[in-house]
Amino acid sequence: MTNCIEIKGLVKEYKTFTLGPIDLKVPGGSIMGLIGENGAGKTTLIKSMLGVTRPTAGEASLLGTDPDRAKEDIGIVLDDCFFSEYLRVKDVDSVLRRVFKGWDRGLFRDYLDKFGLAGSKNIKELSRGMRMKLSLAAALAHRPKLLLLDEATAGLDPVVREEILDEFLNFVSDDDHAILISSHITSDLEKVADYIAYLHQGKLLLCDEKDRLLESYGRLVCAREELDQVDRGYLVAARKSQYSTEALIRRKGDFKRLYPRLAVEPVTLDELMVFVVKGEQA
Amino acid sequence: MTGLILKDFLILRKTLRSYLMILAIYAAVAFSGFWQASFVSGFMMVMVSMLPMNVFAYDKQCNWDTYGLSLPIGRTRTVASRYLVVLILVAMAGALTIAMGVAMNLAGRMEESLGEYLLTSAVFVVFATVINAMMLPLLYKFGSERARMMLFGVMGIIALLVVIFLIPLGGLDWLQSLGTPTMEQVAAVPAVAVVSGLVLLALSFLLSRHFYGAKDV
Repeated sequence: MTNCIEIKGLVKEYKTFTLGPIDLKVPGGSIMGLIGENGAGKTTLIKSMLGVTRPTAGEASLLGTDPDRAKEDIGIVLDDCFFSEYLRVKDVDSVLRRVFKGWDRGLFRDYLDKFGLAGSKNIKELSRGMRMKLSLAAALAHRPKLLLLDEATAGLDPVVREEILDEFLNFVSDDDHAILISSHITSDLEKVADYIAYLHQGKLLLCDEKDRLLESYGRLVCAREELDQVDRGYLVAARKSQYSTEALIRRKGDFKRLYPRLAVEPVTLDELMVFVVKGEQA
Repeated sequence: MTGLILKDFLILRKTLRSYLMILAIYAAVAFSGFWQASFVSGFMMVMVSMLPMNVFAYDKQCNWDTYGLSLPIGRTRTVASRYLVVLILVAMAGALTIAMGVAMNLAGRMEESLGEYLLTSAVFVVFATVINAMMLPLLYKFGSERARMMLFGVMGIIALLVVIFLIPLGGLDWLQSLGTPTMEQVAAVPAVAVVSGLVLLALSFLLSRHFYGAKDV
């Protein structure tokens, strides 16, 4: 299986923020979910790997080639609709069919129908959710091999989100295709992602198969005294309040064998993020 | 590249429509003899000089640059397409100017001679080209809001340069002493204007490409 995304030592420096160095690989036929708090660098990472923002160091290879050469086969949705309010929905078709060699007008119309978007409508009149649908239709209609999606499901109702997630799963059924999707809706990622990359303050804290990640980490709920007796090597972060003590632990299986009387619950991606950001580092 | 050119014209669609309506009213007033035809051609060129700024502002409003750079077009061709839009706009305004002048002349409604009118119009075309050639690198470097303010500075510099060059020569008296241009001189003006305008635009393009190439979106 070839990698659709390969990032090596990518760094982007700003005056007050530095992203990286980031090393990342997304194999073909898979979806990688990119999580992280606001300002963690998710959008910067996507822009840097595309060359939209010039990286300070490092390199990115998309679909086995230079990002500029791969753009014909990349579909992108950033966190807002980038088509001017002065355009109509059908104008997007007129413009992009002159940009992408593989633009499929019929497919674009199919997506518009599926998403309930009228071609004659002014983009100005569309809600945020409808604009996101338009962006998705535009990202998919040239039959890309790689989708880079930044908060692409934000603002969509659960029914449409479900449909779009099915679309994504269908998309990666081809081994040449891959998706990198950043989202705050971690439940979506838990449904569809094969890999999870966790960015925190510009650094890649975790990057692993989702199932292995959720399997290896756990949420320990115990008394404060019990926590104090736990081997620190298992603890990632802890949250202590007047009423409860919780900790994020690694190597859950080993931990359970070592401390069979302590309750370890499965952890969600949301909890994982909250522990890392809000918890005391163990 | 044609996609980007089309996008700019689609965005400007409403603005162009309203400009054409205003132009039709002004042309009708010129036909009635209330003011000279060259006033209308001057007005047209001022409008054409403002349009690229509008496109940059609209692009900024929807973060187009981020998306545009993710498309398989590249920075150089992106800049080139914007310059082509400007050239097409100036050419359209020039063609409308000529059509209006010829129509008024044929109808016997023109105060000035057709030669004088075409000469004045050629000067306006050069003016619009020069303004755009100066503005576009500023727009790429500073964005539409700051560049809009700088336009006034650019106009001021042009006025100052004219004064600086004219005063040692004797000012307006010198201009009047030149007398009425011969038909050969008049005929040479459009060619010189087009060549110098294109050279200036080419230099401006290189500068814009440099600014946009280094830009972090």
